[in-house]
Amino acid sequence: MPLAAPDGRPAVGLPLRARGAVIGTLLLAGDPAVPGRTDPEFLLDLADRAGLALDNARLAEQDREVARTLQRSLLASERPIDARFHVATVYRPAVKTLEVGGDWYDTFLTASGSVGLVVGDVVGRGIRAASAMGQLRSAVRALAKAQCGPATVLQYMDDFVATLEAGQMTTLAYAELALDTGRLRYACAGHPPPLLLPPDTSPRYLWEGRSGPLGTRAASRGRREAELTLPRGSRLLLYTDGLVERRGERIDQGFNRLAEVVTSRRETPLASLVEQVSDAMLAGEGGHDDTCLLALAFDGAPRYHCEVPAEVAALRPLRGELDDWLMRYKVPETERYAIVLACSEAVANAIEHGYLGNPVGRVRVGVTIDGNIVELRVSDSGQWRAPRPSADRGRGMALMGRLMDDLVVDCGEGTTVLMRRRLGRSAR
Amino acid sequence: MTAANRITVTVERGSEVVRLHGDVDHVNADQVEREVLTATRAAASVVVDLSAVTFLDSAGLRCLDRLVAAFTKRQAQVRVVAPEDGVVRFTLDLIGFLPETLASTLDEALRGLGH
Repeated sequence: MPLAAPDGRPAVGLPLRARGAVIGTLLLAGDPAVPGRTDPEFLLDLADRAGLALDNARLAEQDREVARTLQRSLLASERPIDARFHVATVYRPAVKTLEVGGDWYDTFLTASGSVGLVVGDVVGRGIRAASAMGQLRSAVRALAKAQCGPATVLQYMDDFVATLEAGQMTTLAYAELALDTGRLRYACAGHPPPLLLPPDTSPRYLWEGRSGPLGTRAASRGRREAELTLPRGSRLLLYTDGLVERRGERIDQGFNRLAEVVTSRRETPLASLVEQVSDAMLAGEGGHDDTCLLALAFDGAPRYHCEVPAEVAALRPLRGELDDWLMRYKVPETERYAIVLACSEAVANAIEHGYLGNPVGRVRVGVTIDGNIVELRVSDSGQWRAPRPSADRGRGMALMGRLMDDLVVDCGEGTTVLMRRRLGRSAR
Repeated sequence: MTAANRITVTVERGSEVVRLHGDVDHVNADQVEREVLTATRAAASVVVDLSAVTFLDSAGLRCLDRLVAAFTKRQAQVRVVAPEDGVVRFTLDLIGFLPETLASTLDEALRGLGH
């Protein structure tokens, strides 16, 4: 169809067709290279080819968008909230390819007071890998609820993978951390080992509990797991191989680099840590693979601290505040009452006997919850006097002794009363 | 809040019923003790109802001890009401507070006093 371009030069408009529909118009403008020799058939063929190529690109982009959306929705699901740990994650897609990969991470609470941690890597890319990843991720979650332990979870995952079209040779690290005791059980199916960073010692890789990738018959016969106890304040990293693999480098060099990078950032908050570790590990790397990093901090014992003036008027607000704090950590009501009462008695003792009611004095209260042990520390800097045989004071001490499992009074510079109570002990 | 507005006194089936409210602790125990003794000066039998008490510490216990001793001295009969499973009962049971004086409900206390 002869037309004129905006600048007045002769032009020809051609339909861009693909899959039986016109998807656009191709406008060719300018003087023909050889006047009178422009073959209409050639131009139509050119337009058809361009139309098909454009449409293919559009469909591929649509696929990628679907895969990306699927992946985002899977990776961005809700995280468990618990005072005893926190988790940070990072997902870095490969830069060189536009297709999404099958890496995933997941964290969830199990009924038994454990947190489940998963990092997995599905072979392949695109929608197939993303949807297989979604199915495997849900399967691990469901199996974890059965509380059968990591090795058994992997065994069931082998059965599950056998029913899928994709997902064979998926690698997976699965760990369960008991939040009260710090007991960690873990298993790796062909996956790089988790990295443990204890609070005071050098990091170490958890090389036990290993077996082959999912869906391999040999591996499924010998699923293994291992266990250890994490000290409070530990950090645990699970990741996919993209984080430690670099072209032209041996894998053990990658492991060493990761350990160094993590060690030099001991004090870095977890959310920044995962970003910085990913940046450092992937620096200079072309981004040929997706990487996924999940870090867990097994937090130190929750602490409550306050200092009140040595006057009885301070008792009621203190009790309210301590009760609220204990409630936040889900201490049952009866136990809260016992702990708050013991604390109130100790503070009243410090006020009346440590400072003889002189409000210039200060009483310090510290409470920690470590596992199922509540430790209560009340100290004053009052002048030490041998306890006068007062019936009141005796009754206060008797109450404290019965409310708590341990009671130690330390008199030196001032007086410190240390009490412990095991939560969940049988009611008296 | 003062102790005064935490004490109400009524007469039920011939006994004076003193109801305490809120916390009875180091902050107000002495005051509560004085006010209860004043309010029940002429009573022949007294029920101290702790159903609405939200916190009781060793000073509160001492206050109860002294009240019971004072009523006994006045030759007035006395019962203390603390509901089962309540926080006050928890404290009282912990130190073994005068079991023969304790009742779980007002009705039980009044029946114990022969009404």
